[in-house]
Amino acid sequence: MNCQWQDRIALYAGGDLLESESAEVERHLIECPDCAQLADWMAADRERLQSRPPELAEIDFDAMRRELRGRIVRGRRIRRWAPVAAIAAALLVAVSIPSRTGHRMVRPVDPASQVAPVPVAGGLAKGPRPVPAVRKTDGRKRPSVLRSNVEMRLTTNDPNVVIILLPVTTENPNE
Amino acid sequence: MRDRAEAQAPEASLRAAAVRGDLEAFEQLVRRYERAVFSLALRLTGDVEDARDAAQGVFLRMHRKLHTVDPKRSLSPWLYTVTLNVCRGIGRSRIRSRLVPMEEFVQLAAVDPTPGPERQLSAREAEFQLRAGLQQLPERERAALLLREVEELSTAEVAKLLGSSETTVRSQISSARMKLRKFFAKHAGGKR
Repeated sequence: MNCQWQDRIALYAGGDLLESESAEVERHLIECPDCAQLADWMAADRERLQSRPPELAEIDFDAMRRELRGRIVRGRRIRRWAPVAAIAAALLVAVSIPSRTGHRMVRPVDPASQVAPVPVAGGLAKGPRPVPAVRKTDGRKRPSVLRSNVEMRLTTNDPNVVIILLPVTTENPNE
Repeated sequence: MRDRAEAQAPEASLRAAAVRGDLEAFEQLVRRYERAVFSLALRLTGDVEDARDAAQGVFLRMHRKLHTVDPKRSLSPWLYTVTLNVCRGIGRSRIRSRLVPMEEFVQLAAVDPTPGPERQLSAREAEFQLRAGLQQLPERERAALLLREVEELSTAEVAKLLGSSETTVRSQISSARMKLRKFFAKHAGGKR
């Protein structure tokens, strides 16, 4: 079979040729039984393509729509509460940062509170590892609920590295 | 099945209501297109579960992006484009892994008592064979053929949707029809 005709028959089967081109193919089909057979098969293929899948009758579209609605509603809830959650998070950060930095971090460090350097990497320091001293850095009486909290300032061999452990300062209004 | 009132509701007003957040209007739009979208997705992916996932994805995207679609233009071309993209995104490996192996189809054909060109395939067998044949096609040829044959778009419309020239689309459609014919002839005993 001539390949040139095959391509044109493929287009002819789908009505994708110009009128003049279709007429030419039709003249050829009268003369060529093989091409006429091909055109018939292609017309049948086209019908098959245009048929609806049998599964269409079995699909529960109502259930699909319910699922879709559920996903949309959940998405809406998330979008509705997202700004509130963001504001709440921002407020939490704004409240917690001053309490950590305002009272503790900027306070001058009493030289007496300095403890012996603590080696931070194994093998750098010789001899037994010193135990860091722990002391309160202010003399205020602490609320009883916070007395168990410990504030520590640790220095290391590296003067640029200072480890500070701070408690969350929550004043008890009843004291 | 949608009732008469739903069927007659003008699409423009449904779209406007859906954009304003009316879920009922949105669902009516979904009803109008769900079968077409599912069918296209099924033929594109070759798998019912993938097609179901794709349809959900298409309509979720429609819900998010409906306001961006020109209200003067039909929703169909936009939905077809989204369906093509979603099906592509589902992943070729996943799609291919779910295809029924060809040997299984050959076995089906072998047990038929009247094999040969005259053999009449059941609707399910025919569909099964069609999907297997479609999966053999290159992605763009498959998309072009389905949009042209199943959705009955013109070659110009298909070209626009696929971002190709009309000449390219005609060539893709012609090639796809020939390949499909050869596939059917090879696997179903059909003459060529």
